[in-house]
Amino acid sequence: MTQPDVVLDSPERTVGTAGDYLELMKPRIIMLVVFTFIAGLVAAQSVTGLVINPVLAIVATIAVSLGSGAAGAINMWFDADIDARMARTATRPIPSGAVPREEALSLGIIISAMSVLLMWMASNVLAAVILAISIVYYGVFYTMLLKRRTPQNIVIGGAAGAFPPLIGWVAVTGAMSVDAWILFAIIFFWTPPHFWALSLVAHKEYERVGVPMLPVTHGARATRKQMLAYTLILTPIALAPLLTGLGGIVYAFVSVPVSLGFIYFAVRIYRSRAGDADAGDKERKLAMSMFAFSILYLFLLFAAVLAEHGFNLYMPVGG
Amino acid sequence: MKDSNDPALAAQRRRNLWLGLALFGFVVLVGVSTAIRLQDAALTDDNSFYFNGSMSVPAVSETVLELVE
Repeated sequence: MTQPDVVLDSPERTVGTAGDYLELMKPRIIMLVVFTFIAGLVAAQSVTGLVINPVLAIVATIAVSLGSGAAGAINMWFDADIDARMARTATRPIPSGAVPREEALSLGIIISAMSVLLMWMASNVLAAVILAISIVYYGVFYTMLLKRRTPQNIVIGGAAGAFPPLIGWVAVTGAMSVDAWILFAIIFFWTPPHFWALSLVAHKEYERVGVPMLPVTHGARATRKQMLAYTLILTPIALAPLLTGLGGIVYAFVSVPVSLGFIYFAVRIYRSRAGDADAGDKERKLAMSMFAFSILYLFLLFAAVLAEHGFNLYMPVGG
Repeated sequence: MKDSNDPALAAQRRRNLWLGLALFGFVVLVGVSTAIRLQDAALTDDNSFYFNGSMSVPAVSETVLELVE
């Protein structure tokens, strides 16, 4: 396990509020996790015909959001030293002095246990085990082992963010299926181009704190190439629900244009000088546009799944 | 003795309140989940949510047969 090699400067303590503790749990990531979890849960009920008690579904949703928050708190505890030295993260609760570091770890561990227990009670043991794995995967495997060691950190670590729809599916059915793994794979292969778009802009900060992001270790050109490659791999996976029947007409109308849009951005990035030493404001804006579009892309794909299976809009492709 | 108007103390009180509410919420969620699971469970089957002291029909039959033999 790589221990932080920089001792965190003792920040001046400010008065920590409940909001600071909430911030520690990365609420924006929780929203994405909950959204994809619900998409998996709703799709599983519609596709398999199995149902979960609505109250238990709400409890399971709370459990997965707590699990995500707990993993986020553990991540912030371990990364406090590098967060303090990056402009983007310097205002987080630990570097700002609002939350003591050891409290973040305690919060993360206790809430992890509570979330897994709740998931078990609300659904089944398999969903609880996958939730536990996803917390350990992000909080320990990605944060402590991968992030500071390999430029493939977010490729392998991307699985952590891909678990929620799988957990949602398993919470209903008690088993995994091809459709559940497709939802997992969409997020898994979406993560590298999404995160590297941001890395192309912020690579100097990562370099300064010693995090081996791909643009730092292999340069911007190799990163742009990998982004295009992962986008091209992602496209057939994003369209796969149309073949298995998980996605219907609505999904087709959404997934085809947004996939083309994502490829368009990846090609533009590939042909640009984004991330290069002499890159200007135009390239920076392009990278940030792709980053923003990638969020919209994932949101629209899962919104289409949710709309079709949660609001009776499903019409199979080809009648 | 700390000043009751101390912002740090006031913040700590607010955090304690939130912590208490969160723990209460957790207890409620566990209670509600348990109640629903018990309501939905077939407690006399082999896959009982909790063992309630009674055996399923095949198990009872086997036990009776063993006693007869």
